[in-house]
Amino acid sequence: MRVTKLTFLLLFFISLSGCSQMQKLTEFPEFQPWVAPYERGILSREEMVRERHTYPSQFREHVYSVRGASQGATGSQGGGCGCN
Amino acid sequence: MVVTRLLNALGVSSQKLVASTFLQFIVLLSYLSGSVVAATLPKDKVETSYHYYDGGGVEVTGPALFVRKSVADNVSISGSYYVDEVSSASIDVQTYASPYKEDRTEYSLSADYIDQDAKLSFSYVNSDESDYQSDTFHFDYVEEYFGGLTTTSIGYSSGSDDVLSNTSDFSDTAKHDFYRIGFSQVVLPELVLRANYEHISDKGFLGSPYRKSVINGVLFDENLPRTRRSNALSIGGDYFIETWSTAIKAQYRYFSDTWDVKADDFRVSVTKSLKTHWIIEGWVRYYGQSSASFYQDQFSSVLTYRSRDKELSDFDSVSMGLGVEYLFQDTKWFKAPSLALGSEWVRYQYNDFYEYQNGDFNQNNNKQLYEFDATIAYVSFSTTF
Repeated sequence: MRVTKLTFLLLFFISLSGCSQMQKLTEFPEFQPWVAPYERGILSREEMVRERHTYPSQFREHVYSVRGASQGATGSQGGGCGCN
Repeated sequence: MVVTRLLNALGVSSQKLVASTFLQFIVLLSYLSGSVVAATLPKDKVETSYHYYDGGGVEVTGPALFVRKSVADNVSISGSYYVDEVSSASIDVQTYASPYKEDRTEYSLSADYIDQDAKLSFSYVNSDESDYQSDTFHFDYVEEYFGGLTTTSIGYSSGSDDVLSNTSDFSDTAKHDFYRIGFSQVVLPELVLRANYEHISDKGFLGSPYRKSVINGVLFDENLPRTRRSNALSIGGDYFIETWSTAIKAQYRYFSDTWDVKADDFRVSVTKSLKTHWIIEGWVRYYGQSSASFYQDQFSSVLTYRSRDKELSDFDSVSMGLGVEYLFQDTKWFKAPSLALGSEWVRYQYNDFYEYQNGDFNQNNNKQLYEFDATIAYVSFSTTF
């Protein structure tokens, strides 16, 4: 478990650094996204947006986790509770 | 299975392997991704909602309020207030205690900081009940690569709980650690794929001071292990069908833990715009889990670990929901205001948890598998400014 925690912390801080030092070692040609910015209108369509109302989905997620034994990997967070 | 055994033989845990693989993956992305995109702060926003749950003798209602405001070019702060007003006469309460009413109040404070293509978030959540107090800290780091097509996230949460009892001087504590990583990829202009993994470590008192186990028809205090480690992995995607103005979102999650609980969670939703201002959404969910190794409806002998918690039993659940949303015109003060209403029907069917007539656990001929329907409903108003 200790190894997992250390690996996780290392991973976290390397992420924070953005690995800028490594990028300086070798200059790659600038990346051209295969989905251009002007093609991403669909992703911001009202039907695709997930965050406009956060409470309804959070509440449903809360009910699911309280009424079952599983949790995690859903992208939502919350505090602990004695909701039994 | 073969891979897992090989890794175990080499002394490499699956959690370590996932973390190491993700580390290499992030390094590779940073190495290859030459272009930098500017991450944006979440918009200033107000959201208020009212939620409702009714099922299995439990009713929960309450308001919620969320406010977020940017305080600098690259910093925003937010706060939230959330209340659960609980009225419970569940099958557990009817068996072991008396119906009760109580409130749970939750406050949270958050801050987001952006730097070029990355966002760092920190939040604190306090939850307060008469017999349960919890403090949780969250750290999350999100970074975009390849012109914003690829997003990785990494996060950690730490929670400390005080567990009390309203009927005795019972007092104990619990600690929870959450380690999570996530990945999303814009594959096509109309398709985004996602994957999330979370490892959770729980220590301390992980049960309920009220709940009982049943041994040969007699009630005894339940006793759960004081440690638990869980792994959850979800994969999913959002796809937009332009000719129908419809988005289809699907997600599957697999969960397993050291208590032998295994769970499958599958969800699909369809979101469609109607005319200019209306959006309608329908969703279905299937959930099934196996029981914990120390769960039994009735024990025939006194075991060290024992529980009759139906949430730890083998059960299946299906649900269907429908929501509508109205998008108002922008005003001088409010941008993209919208009102959302929705309701969900949930069916729980237990495969090894019985309802006994008159609560008499010796009436084995008059017992039936427990099942109940629940209703979830909400109304929510949201606007940016």
